Amino acid sequence: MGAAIGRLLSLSHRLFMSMPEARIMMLGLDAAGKTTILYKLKIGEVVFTIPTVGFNVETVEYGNIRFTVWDVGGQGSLRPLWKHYFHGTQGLIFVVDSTDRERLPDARDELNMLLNEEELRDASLLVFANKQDLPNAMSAAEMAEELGLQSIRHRRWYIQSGSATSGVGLYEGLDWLSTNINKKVA
Amino acid sequence: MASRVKEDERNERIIRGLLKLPANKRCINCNNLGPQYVCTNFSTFVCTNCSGAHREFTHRVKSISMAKFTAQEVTALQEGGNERAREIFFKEWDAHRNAYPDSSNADKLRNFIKHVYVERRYTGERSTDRPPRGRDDKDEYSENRRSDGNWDQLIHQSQMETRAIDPPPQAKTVSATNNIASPEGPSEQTKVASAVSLIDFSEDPEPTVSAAPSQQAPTPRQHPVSAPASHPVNSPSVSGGDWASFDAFGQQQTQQSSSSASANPLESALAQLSFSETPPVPNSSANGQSSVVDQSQSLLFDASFWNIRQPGVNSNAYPRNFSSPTFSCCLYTGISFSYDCQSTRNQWYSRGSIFY
Repeated sequence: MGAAIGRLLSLSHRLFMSMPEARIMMLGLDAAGKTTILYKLKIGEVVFTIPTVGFNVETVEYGNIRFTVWDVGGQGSLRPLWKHYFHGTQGLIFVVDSTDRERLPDARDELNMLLNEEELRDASLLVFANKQDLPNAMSAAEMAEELGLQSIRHRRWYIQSGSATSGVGLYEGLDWLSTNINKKVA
Repeated sequence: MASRVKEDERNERIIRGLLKLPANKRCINCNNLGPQYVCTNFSTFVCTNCSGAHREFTHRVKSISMAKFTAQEVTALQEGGNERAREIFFKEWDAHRNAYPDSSNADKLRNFIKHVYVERRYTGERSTDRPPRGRDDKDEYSENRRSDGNWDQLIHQSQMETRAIDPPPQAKTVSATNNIASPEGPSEQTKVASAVSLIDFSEDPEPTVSAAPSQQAPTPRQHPVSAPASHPVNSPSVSGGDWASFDAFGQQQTQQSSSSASANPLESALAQLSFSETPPVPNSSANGQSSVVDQSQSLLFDASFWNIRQPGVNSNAYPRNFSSPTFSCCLYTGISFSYDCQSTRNQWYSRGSIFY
C-alpha cells in the first residue's frame, strides 16, 4: 500500500514538477580533482580516490536543476575516449590543478581541443581552478591568462577558483552553470 | 608522429621490463603484488591504492598502461626503482618492527606515506629534528583532541596564574616533540612543551616553601593542580599543590617498568606518574589542603582517567581538529607554558569528570 502511494506520488511529481536536467561533462588532466569534486557535490564528503579508469557519473540536484555529471578519467591515453561522452552535453566543467604550472600548457591544449569539438559547440564552459587551498596556487586571473580563455569566441565561459576538499567555490560554479546552460525540460 | 608513437612504445616496453625486477614486483609501500602505477617524484612502483594516497600529497603518479612517459622519467626509473628508493626512504625501516600498511585502509596508507616521504622518518638523515619514536597515531589523535579546549578560558586562567606566580627564571621542561620552536629570547625563558609531556620532571631536589601569603596557591577545589609545573630552581615558588614532585620518578620507574610493559606507551607513562600521589618528599605545605591535593592528583594521574582520551573512546565528545596545542602556545608566548599545561589539565579534569 505504502509502496503504491509512493509510486503514485513520484509519478505525479514527475508529471507536474518536472525538473530541468542538464548533462555536464567534467574533464581535465589526471589528478586535477574531478572525482573529488564529483563526490563532494554528491555526498558532501571528501572521499579517498584512486586514479579513475573509465568514468563516474552521478546526478546532483541543485538550484531546481538535476545535473547529471560525468567524470571521465583524465590520464593520457584515456583522453581520446572523452569524445565518446560528448553527445548531448550542455555544460563542460574543465578542472585544472592551480598548483601544477608545469602541465598548464597541456591543460590548455586539451581545452582547445575540446572547444573545437563539434558536439560541444553549444556547451557552456566552466573552468574550475582547483586546489586553491594549497600554497603556491595560481589565481584565477593568472590561469585565465595562461589557458587563453580571453580568446574564446562564441561561447559562454567562466572561471571559478576554489577547492574540492573544502568545497569552496563548487556551488558558485554550479550557480553560474545553472543560469548559463540551455536547459532541457525532461 | 610515427616516431613519437614508436618512442612511447619503447618507453612502455622498458618500464614493463623494469616491473620484472624482484623489487619492482611489489608495491613499495604496501607490498602488494603487481604495482600498476609509477610515482615519478620518487621513481617508485606503487599499487593503485597507494597511487591514490600519493596524489593526496601532490605527488605525481602515472599509470604504466595509461600514461605516456618521457625519456627522463624512464631514465629516472631505470636508475631508481623500488630497490633504490628503499635504500633512501626505508633505510631505518625494519620489516619486523614496522608493519606494511593495509592498502585497503585509506587512513593508514595516508599516514604511512606521510611518515615515509613527507616527514622522511626512516631516511636516517636529520635524526636530531625528527619526531621521536614511539609516538604512534594514537598519540597524535589524543594530542589533537587535547587542543580543542576553550582557549579564552585557558588564557584567562593562565593570566590569573601568571599574576600570582612569577615565571620561573630557569624553567626546565622536558619536551617530547620539537615541531614548534619555542621563542627562546633573552627575556622569555620559558620553553614550550608539547601536550604529550605535560608533566615536568624538573630537577628540583626539594621544593621550597612559599613564604608570602599572597603567593599561596589557589585552593585545590578551584585548581586541582595549581602549582607550577616547572619549579623555579632559585626562586621562591608556590608549593601548595606540590603535584610536580616527581623526585622519585627515576627510582620508581624501574619498579614500574616491568609491570607496565604490556600497556600502551601513554598509559604506561601515566601509570608511572601516578606514583606521585605518595611523594617521598615531605609535603611542604603544612596545612590541611594537602590531602585534598593528593586526591586530585591520584585522580588526575590515574591511567584509567587519562584513558578516556584514547581514540575510540568518547570520540564524539572531542572533535578532531588539527591545531596542535603547541601552536596555541606560540600564540601566547607571554605566558609560561607550564601554566598552560595546568590549565589544560584543569579543563580536562573538569571536562573529564562529566563522563564519570
